[in-house]
Amino acid sequence: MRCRLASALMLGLVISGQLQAAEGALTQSASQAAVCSGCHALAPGASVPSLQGLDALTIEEQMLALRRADGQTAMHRLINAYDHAQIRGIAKVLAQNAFGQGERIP
Amino acid sequence: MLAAMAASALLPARAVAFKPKARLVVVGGGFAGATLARFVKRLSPETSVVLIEARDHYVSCPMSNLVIAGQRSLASQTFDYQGLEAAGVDVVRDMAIDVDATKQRVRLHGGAIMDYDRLVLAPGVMLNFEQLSGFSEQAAQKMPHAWQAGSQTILLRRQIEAMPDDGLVVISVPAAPYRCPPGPYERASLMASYFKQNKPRAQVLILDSNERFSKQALFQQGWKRLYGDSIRWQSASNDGRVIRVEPDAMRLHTDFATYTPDVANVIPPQQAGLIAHRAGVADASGWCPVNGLSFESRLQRNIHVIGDAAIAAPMPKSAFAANAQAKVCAIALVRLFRGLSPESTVLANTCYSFLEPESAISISGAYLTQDDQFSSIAAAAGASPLAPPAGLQAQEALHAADWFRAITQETFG
Repeated sequence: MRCRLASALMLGLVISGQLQAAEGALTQSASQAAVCSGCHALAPGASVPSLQGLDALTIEEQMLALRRADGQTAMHRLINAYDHAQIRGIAKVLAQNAFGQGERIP
Repeated sequence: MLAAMAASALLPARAVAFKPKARLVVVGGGFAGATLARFVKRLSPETSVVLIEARDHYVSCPMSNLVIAGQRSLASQTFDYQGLEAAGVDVVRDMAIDVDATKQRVRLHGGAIMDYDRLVLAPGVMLNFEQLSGFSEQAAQKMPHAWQAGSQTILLRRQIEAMPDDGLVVISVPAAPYRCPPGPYERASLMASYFKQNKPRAQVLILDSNERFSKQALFQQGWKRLYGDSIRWQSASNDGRVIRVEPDAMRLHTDFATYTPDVANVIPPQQAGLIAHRAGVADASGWCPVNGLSFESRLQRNIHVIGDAAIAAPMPKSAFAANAQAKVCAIALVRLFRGLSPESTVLANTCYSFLEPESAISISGAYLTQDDQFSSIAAAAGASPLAPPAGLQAQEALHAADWFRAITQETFG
């Protein structure tokens, strides 16, 4: 009896561990970052910056720099929707591409 | 005991199914529905995702004003569903004709019945021909709306090509809300661009059922600069509201005037697609009220509505918004399937409009989603500057083209 209970508990742990791994794609940061791919999923060379191969710190720094810059594109406006903590969370998701399967558009 | 624990710890999670896999049915394969189907499958491969779409191909309205101006082909606007099938989405080529929200079933035109755990309706808009006296689907063969892209787009293109060099086009704009708020004004711009090159004496008259419009100052400044007086606009209070049409006589009537243009582009009033009404998720306005976190209908449980059909104001009815809503709704659905609550997020939108084929302007907004509403984030809202630095409008035209490339790849694969 104890045996079964213990194994059931262990199973639960294994399964919740697996779910939690997948839940990185289900966080608030992931849903905020999900919007980005509508424009930024292109390979380098497009007029819209590509996010391919960038690490989280680089993306975070670029987003913060955009907030300070006085450019006049759509993204110079949209960046003001996010505070630093949100930017950091979004950058982390984009670097991991956690909401996708690493699909890249050629 | 230890052995038992070790053995069970090694069992793959898939072998231990606590409940049968979730069944998601999506109706409508446009920017909202196709994106949602792909994203749910990507986030949760174990979920059964069925997409019901009657058409073999989707023809995109975004960028279709460039087709009318002769700058793009309709083929470049056309996408199939092979990418969705390759992603594991079960694409059913049929039309959903009824929903039993209590039994959680969708009935298809072909007779099939589909059970769902969650249903997503992304039917886009239905054109309310009968709300404009004298107009009908048949009348649109003479007075094309071109507000659902495809043969209507080509018809309008042919009409402006064939009209006299000093001809007049009237664009009739319905009362808001309608799909693509800046669309009629971009269309006027691109028609004028075509005329400037090919029929310099031709004119565009916009008869508007509204008092103001999206990016108004930017459009009007652009029109003056690029096209002089060849685009005129009449607001509703300036007798701009078309109340009746006579397609055979090519006449449009406002309260006090009658127009007989060479080409009449009549955009009818709109509401949520028919299936939304069948499912009981549309309210008296004709559109679908939804919860801001999950896009679940406020009128029927387990049915979600995204894209043009949903009331997500102040978000506009745009392809960008539909695609963004779909991704957020996909995350919310997978959370719900796993027993987690949907969370608040930040949605965004950008609408680019071409003033001429190589110049564009944009308007953007970001929106905090809450249980009971969508609210605009003031710091992020705005449009292109009225006094643009050199090269900005050309850069925005490139952004528009790249946006279209990215979003269609993401939506259709």
